[in-house]
Amino acid sequence: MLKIDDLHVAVDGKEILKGIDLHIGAGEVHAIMGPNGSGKSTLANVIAGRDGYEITAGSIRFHNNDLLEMNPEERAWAGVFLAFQYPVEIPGVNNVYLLKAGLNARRKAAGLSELDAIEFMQLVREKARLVELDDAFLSRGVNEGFSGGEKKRNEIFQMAVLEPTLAILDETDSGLDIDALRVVAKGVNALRSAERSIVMVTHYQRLLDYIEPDAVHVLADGRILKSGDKHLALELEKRGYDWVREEANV
Amino acid sequence: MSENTQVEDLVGKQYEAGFVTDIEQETLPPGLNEDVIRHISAKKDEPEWLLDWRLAAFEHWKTMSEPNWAHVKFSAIDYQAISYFSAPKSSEDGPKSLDEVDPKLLETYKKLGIPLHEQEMLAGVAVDAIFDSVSVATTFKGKLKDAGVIFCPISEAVRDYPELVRKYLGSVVPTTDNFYAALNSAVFTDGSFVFIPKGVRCPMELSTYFRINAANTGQFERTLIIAEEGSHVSYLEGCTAPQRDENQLHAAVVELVALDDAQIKYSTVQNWYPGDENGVGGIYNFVTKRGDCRGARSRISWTQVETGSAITWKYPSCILRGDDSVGEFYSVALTKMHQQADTGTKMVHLGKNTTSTIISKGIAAGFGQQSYRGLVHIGKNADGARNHTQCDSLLLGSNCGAHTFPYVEVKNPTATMEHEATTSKIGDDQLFYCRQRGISEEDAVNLIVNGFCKDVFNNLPMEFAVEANRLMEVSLEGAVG
Amino acid sequence: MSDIALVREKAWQEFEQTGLPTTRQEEWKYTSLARISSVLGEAWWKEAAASDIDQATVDAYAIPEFDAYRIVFADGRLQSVTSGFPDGVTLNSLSELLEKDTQKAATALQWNVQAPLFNAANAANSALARDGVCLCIAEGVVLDKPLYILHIASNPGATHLRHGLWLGKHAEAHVIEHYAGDSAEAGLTHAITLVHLADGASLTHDRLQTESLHQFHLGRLDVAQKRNSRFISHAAALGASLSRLDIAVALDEAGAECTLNGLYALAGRQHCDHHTQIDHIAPHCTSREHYRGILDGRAHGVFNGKVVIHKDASGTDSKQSNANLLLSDKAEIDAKPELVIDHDDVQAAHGCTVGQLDENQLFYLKSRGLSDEQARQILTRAFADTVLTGMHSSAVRRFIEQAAFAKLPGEIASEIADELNTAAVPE
Repeated sequence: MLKIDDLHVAVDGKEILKGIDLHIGAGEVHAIMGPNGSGKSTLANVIAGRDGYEITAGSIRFHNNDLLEMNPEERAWAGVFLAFQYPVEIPGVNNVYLLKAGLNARRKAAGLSELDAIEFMQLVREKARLVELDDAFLSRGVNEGFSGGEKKRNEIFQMAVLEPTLAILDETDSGLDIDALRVVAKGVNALRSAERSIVMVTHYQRLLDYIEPDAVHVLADGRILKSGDKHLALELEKRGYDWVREEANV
Repeated sequence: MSENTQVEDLVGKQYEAGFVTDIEQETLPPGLNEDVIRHISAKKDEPEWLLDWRLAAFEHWKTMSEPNWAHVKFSAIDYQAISYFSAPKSSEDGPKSLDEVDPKLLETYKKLGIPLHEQEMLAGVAVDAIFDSVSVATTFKGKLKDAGVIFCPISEAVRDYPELVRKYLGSVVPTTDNFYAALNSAVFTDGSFVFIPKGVRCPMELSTYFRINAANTGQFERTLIIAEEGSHVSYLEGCTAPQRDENQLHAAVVELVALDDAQIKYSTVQNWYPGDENGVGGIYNFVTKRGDCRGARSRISWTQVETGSAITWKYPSCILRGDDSVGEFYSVALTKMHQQADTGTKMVHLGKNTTSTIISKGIAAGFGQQSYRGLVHIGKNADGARNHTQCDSLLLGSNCGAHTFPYVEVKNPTATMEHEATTSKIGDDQLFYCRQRGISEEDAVNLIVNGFCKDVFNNLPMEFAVEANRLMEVSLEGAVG
Repeated sequence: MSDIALVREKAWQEFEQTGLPTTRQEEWKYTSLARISSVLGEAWWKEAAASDIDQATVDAYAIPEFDAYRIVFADGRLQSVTSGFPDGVTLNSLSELLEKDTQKAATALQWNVQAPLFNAANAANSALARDGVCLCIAEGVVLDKPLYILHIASNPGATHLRHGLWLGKHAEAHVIEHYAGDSAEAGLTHAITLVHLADGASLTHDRLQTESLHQFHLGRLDVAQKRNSRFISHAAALGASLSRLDIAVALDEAGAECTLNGLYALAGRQHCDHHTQIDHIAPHCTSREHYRGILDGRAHGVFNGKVVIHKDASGTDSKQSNANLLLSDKAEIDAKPELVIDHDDVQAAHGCTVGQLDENQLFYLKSRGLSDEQARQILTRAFADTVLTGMHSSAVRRFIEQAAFAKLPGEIASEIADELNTAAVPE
């Protein structure tokens, strides 16, 4: 489904990703772990198409389309969803309205009819329950005045509504207390399916207690130094990242 | 790069209301002198006192000079090159009902998206349509009459309710108030007159559409709204003008009077021709609007959505004379291409416990220049007066400007005044967030601008809110910040 | 005729032609200078007689316990100057330069035909200034102690001072201008200060005005900033019957930063006007401005803060706020926080408030056992103190606080106030 080959990315002339290879099949959940500044968020942003990154080599193919040739909204229409590490506040823009515009744009791109207001609201209410998001949040401005935890839940709620085929969760767990983490994890687990792949970018093993990954990759110094199953995450938790670096250097 | 080209697309957005209605006009030759004023007055069959009033205003006007403090630039206006009266010929006899109105005029309104018949049936809005200088048709007269509401062209009010007109005309905006108000007082040709008697809630929204059609004419309408004790009225005006290469002058005066416990809500959607992408042509919109909260607990709200005109010079104001009276000003102004707007409000607190709220949202794109100019004055006796001002500007593109000139004058220690202002552009991260959710860049800009304007749109009557939204969308088409 | 004589003559002509600004001019809408000529006469600009004041008098006016290089002017003439400046620091009086090195005077004090005269009052200064300070600090030199310029007005008549402060690349200094006096007769102090900051230079500038309540005061502070330079200003206006201070800062090159803080505490029939203008000319400059006023009696305060963001000033970050407290029903404040923005890549915000003490805070203090009066006094002091917290020198800050608080109604032990100020009152 997602094939990243030999991806090199630079920011302001400085190389951040130095040759990433990552293949993710349909329905798989992959965790990408690594120390701060290792390039995890860069990878997430590059997949979603944010400006300001220079792709110096390599390719990203998604369902056999060249993702790098598409602009951010086209990627969204193709089914890519990014749960932001720092969700943006957009004052005055209704949360639900944004979702409706996004969902209908995607349906239109797929040649489907637009949902009417009633169908859409039904969908929205149902998904809001999934992440225990109060109805009041639906009608507020996008992330406007939300607490950190509310913003993260809102991201998962949006993911539930937009039903992407590839969801990238960029440090969705950071800044959450244990209850909020459970809620978020419950939402993500409910969205696991054979068609949907999920990439979790995270710093901590904690999230993986709740969402069990099919594969774990260690990203450090712009490269994937080691891949394994969920046991790798536990080992990282115990031993830190240095041993992986050392091993890779040998 | 793309940012600029797309902003230029926005700048190049065609003016949709720019068409000329081909109707025979009876127009005075250009020029202004006593004879012209006498002619206008005679044409309208006015009483002696009104002619004298006009002539006095004209005498005073001759001693005045144009104000030059606004943050706008334009070449001098030749007041002798303007025609001060223009009427569609077919209206000479005065239509009695919609059926008698020239079908071409009705067609004009259809093009503007305000079919009278439809409004009559669906919206329940009574419409007084001012075409150049003459009121064309006022719908719903019957129903309003039953409620005791007078809603008619001001020339008709002069004829039918002279004592009311005489009592209130010029009592809020004196003939000597400013250059354009003096000019208007001398030559005003038509406008609306509204009178809501004591205790009456006007049963429907009252609405006027203004349109300048003839070339080289100025439009000088005068609107007078009186809300007696405990009455309520909501009044809407919409404005358009055809596309022309020369600049046309629109110098209106609007006076509102609210007695004890009365409420007046005055909404404007202004879409006069803004000129072309090179800044040629367009309306000079130099308007004096003022409301007098004369009575205790009275309330006057101004809501305006200004997207048109080459130059806007306009400060809808409230004199908060009555104790506990309330003044409100909600404004969205968009300037693009070479448009210039210097707009804002004056809140003059004289009575005790008076409250005012100002929310102004300015959007500048292209080479647009946008200025907020406001005065909050809290007088010696205005114990407990409160003002809150929020004044935000959004810039799209690097060739535009947004300026804020707030004047604050406080002479009472129990007053509370807060002014906040911000200027920003649409953030790249906001745009990316929207695009990641599948919304195109253009729609995202629209979405964010609409969110930016929301506090003001929420205060528009329903029908106008929809229109205002559409107007913003049309105006922003192709815009990317 | 020397260059300076030429400039003086031209400035004088300009002044004679236009006369003092009037309230018909937008910049002077709320401040009438008519009182100056009605009290001092047509020849209001005529110089005060020289006076000779002793050390004890100087000490009585000076900021106590303040370790600084000190230069004293009496009625516009150099009185004394401390010595021992470090290498790379030259300090001349203007009178000295006018005798020995007119070229330097012309350069350092902008005495050339092209230099702007600002307004007719300032033009009179260009024509008449006879003394002042010219401070030049060489590249990389840090002035080890503050420079304290004290001016004492004691005779009737006008004094025209002109100061120039030049800091070379990465030079640093702290300069205090203090205008004092308690003459029972009316006079005019008119001081212009011109500041030039080279790349990376840093100047902390405090301007205290504690003149006699009969005095008129016209001041101007004109600052030009080069790349990455820093300018921090605190202006306290407490004295004079009528005072006007114009501050103009030009952020000419990228990375320059300025902070303008000010306090006006007025009572009686005092009239005090601050006009500030910050020009963001180059990209990535930062400005912060915070002025507060407390007005009692029939005092009239005017604050006009203008921020202009020019066409090329991308990445500008500008914030301004002005807050006012009216303590009497005869006091008046006229404020105008202006923003003129010709560029879209900016973050600019300004705010202005007029109001009373916060009821919640009052209640909080009273619930802790303070009387209503005490609580009001403490909160009023805290309100004023907010703009002084960033001051470099605690001696200067304490001096301003004492002078300002002495003007406010009621009395309270200052230690209690200090303690409570820091403990109970959020900003």
